[in-house]
Amino acid sequence: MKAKIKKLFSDYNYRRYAILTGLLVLMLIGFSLESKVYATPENFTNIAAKFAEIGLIAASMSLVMLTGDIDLSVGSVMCFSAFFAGMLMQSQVPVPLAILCALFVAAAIGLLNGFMIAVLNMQPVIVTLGTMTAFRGLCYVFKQGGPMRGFPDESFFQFGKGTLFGILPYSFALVILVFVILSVAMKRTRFGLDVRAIGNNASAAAFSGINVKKYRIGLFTFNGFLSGLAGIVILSRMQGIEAALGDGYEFDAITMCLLGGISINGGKGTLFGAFIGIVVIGYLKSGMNISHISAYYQSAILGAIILLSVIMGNLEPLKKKKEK
Amino acid sequence: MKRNRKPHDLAPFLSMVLLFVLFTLITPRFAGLGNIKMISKQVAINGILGVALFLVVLTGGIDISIGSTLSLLCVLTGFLESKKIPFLIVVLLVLLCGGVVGYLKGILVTKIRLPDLIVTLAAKNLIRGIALMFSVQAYVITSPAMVSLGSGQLFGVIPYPFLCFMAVALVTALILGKTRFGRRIYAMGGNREAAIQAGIDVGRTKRSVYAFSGILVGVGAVLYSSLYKNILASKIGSDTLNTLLAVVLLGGASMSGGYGKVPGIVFGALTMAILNNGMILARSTDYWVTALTGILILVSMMVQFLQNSELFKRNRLGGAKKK
Amino acid sequence: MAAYILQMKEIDKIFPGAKVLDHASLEVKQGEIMGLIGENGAGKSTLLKILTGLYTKSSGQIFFKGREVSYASIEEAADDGIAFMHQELNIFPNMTVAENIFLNRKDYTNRLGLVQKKRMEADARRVLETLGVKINVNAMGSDLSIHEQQMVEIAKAMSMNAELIIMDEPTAALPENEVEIFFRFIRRLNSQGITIIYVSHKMVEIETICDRVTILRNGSVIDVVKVGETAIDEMVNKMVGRQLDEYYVHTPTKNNNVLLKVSGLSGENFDNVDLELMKSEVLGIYGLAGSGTLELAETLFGYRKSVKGTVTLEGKEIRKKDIANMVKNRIAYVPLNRKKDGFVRDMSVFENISMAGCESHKKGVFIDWSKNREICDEFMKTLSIKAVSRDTHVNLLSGGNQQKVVLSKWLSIHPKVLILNEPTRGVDVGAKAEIYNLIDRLVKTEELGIILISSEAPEVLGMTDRVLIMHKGQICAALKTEGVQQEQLLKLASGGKEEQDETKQETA
Repeated sequence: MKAKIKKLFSDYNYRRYAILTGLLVLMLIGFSLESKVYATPENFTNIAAKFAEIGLIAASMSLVMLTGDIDLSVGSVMCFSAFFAGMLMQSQVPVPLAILCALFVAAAIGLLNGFMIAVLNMQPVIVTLGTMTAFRGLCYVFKQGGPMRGFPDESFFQFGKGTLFGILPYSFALVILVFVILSVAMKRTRFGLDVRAIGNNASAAAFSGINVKKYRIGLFTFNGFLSGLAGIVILSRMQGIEAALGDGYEFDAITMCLLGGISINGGKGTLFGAFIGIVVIGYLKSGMNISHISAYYQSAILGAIILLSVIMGNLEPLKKKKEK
Repeated sequence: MKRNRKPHDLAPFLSMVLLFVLFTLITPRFAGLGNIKMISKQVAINGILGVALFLVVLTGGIDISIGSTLSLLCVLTGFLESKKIPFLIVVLLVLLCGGVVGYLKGILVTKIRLPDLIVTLAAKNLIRGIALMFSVQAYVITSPAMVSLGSGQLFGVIPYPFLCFMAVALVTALILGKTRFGRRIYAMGGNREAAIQAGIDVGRTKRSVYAFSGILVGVGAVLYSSLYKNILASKIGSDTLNTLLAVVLLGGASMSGGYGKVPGIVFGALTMAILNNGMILARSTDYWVTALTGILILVSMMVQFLQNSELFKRNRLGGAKKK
Repeated sequence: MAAYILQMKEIDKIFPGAKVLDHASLEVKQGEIMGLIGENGAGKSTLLKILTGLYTKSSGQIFFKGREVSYASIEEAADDGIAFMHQELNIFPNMTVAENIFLNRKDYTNRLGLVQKKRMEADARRVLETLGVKINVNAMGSDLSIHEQQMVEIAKAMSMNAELIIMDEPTAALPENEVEIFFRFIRRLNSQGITIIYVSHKMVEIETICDRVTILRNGSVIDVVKVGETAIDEMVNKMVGRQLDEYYVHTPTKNNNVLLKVSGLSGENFDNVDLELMKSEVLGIYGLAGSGTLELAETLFGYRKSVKGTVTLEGKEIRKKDIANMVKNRIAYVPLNRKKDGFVRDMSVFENISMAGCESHKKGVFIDWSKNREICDEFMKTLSIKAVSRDTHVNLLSGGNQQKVVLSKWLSIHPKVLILNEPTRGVDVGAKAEIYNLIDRLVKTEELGIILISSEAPEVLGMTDRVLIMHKGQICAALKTEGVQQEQLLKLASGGKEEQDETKQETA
């Protein structure tokens, strides 16, 4: 028994899960002292609704990061797709068609990213920073920087308001669904093996017959698609959209993945870890708000968390190297 | 025999001229002396910060925390000024602090072997948080030395900020081109393995580059404070990165390191300043400027790709592209 | 009797899991040209890297010019008068020739610390002139041909005013006719009193240029001989070790069914290659570094694009030449650079082995992992892969076991054609024997053909049925392996012509 537990802890992923769960428990206790509502189901519903969009993005971002890439354009793509769908709706396009079009455009932006990165061999950071800036700018152009509100058919707002069993917002149920599907694909098909192999050693993966280019393009496209979906979700939740919305979401999504144990160099970590990362960050931010920690400290704290989780992930291999 | 100049060395200069002519045709007011002075003043800060980013890019890295470092150093300037500390000492302290912040980033990158991107991403938040903490209310710059730095002109024609920019560019160009330190930077950016084989301590070089880059951000911070006089951390540097990246890319630097020259960066910065100024004069909303900046980044990446692939075909010296 | 300029005494170097150097000593006299030979993995480069401070020694002493030294870096060694010319070309593509030569040199800065470009250029011009080459000192590194890059490397070593120059395979990239010019140049250096350590695989060069030769095998110095007193054959025997002969277990097979036919294949660094691989045959391709064998193999496997030519497997042409399709056609490749291309170090033995063939066992849409685990365990048993469990990360295994993991990965798809590129490089003697056994067993029991690419002559001669010899990207000879001598291979591979015509045979 003891040996089994010890073995579990020697595993990078399980250790991460344990640390994060511990952290979550500590937060639940600590912040509850500050405010009675913190550990209630209502607060969970709140947090879940608020972090569903970033959660969706984090799902595909974790795959992109597992292959060793990074995508900074997600926040802009989310906002752009919301604007795009809203614009179509305002010009009397039926809601389902508008949503489909927006998702298509979002996926196309992802495809553009993937093409430039995987085929033309450009650095992911720069390319996605370029698309991030370009589409953020275009978001401002829609309404001259103002918000977009009022649609002919507002029935789809129900999605943003509704909950499952009175606790779980539809949007977060969607997040869970996406994570479950992806996890099954990772575990039960060769998808997971391939993605991790590419992140660990793209060259060896290619020499094993894995089509690295296709995977990278595909994952960037998927990331664009899910960002677009997040845009639709946020549109229905906020019942409108603003040009600055989603600024910094890329950063939050990356933080969740890193905290969840996904290595910045690729190849290491699990979707489950990323999911716990979402929950922990959600509760952390909520706790900090409840205890009136100013936004300034919050920013610094998140920065420190990124550094710590990356250093933790990086120190282990360093230590191993030294032992040799 | 003279060094053979490649046509694309001139690209930064030509794109600047082209844009200048274009805007002159659209709005005649654009080429007036007053507006040119205006542009030369506006270019200074982004120009200096562009050079700071360029240095890190030369080594093959990237620093996305320059904007927040700027805001921190501006706050420091404001704070020191409010304590009535002599101008020169303020400048020295700010530059020193910039150097230290940069050096710390360098340590994280080289000692714990973290990617530049992630270190500076975290640093960006950390530094911004610290800056915001210290800047609860706005600092207002009033000291005569600072005010005259921001608004003074040499011979009544050339604004001091522009002079500062030129000085920074000149000194950096000299260091890059004429010292062993500078040559080491190009060497490690061009072929890291070979640099190690040649006995270059690439870790130390990188740390020094980050420190140097931090000092330049300090210069930018002093200028910023003297130009805008009203310092509120939350207003400073949040969207600088895109512009700076466009400056560096338009300036002809390669994002994989080793290529690019300071004059190119100067023209890149001028191009961006002209674009910004011209768009506003042409009564376009500045939203388009943001979108255009992004598109410019992508287009210059494309241009670079085309150049590289030509280079690549001839000779496989580029080394491993990814990772 | 000249004094020793360099004495490396009883050097040990222990890497995790392997003793790379075992009491190796290297003593070089002032003003001589010392050859250093040994097979890949014998410890030559480790020894030299210890000398120049790239590695630290586990034990032993080094004396240079009578003084005990222990350099921390190449720079320190260079300051003391030891220059190292690396096998890989270390050219900076973004710098001029002059800068490439004098980069990072303290003595080319003035009192203000500014680099003296004019002086650099003048001196670079002078150095290149003494070398007898015409290269513009202001040309950029990226504009140089491979040959020019080599000359710049040489100029770099020259310019340091070194007393001892280490040359690691300096002629690897030089065209044949320029080797003689290069030798003349070495002799001139030597007559100026500069001592040289000359590392090469090419025995002809060792014979021509060296005074004495130190022979390394498996990390130990086997012998130090004088050129002229000891025959080349004897040196080769000492280098390879006679006992190795018995490892080569392959007995020729006879089969005339053409399995793989390649015609007119051209690509980067090789041109117009024709070859035929029979079923149950081991076909050797022998070539020195840079001869195009690597590119040929990688093109055959679809990693690089071919310019023209066809690949036909069992009479059917393979049109789509990418890796995925090659694997689908059951063509497998064990790459040259195992660490980089062969396996994924931070993944387990099981994951590495199932990377290629896991999809052949499925339950519905999902992969049957338990069946895959069984297969993995079976390979671990039959190939005797030594690992704690199938979940052990591959980077914790020894070189030989890593190679067996790579082999298992491919054997799991039951390949028809197995291309092995230097399969025993960096593998200890025991595992080497096992791999040879496996090769022989495979061609006799499975329905496949093996292409064995190697630069180790004994391996090619001991393990193949036929051998193709590659030189400068072309197949310059095709021989039945039986009865071929080592010198013959070496000569052909370094561009020499076959003298006796009767040994020349048709490619079938």
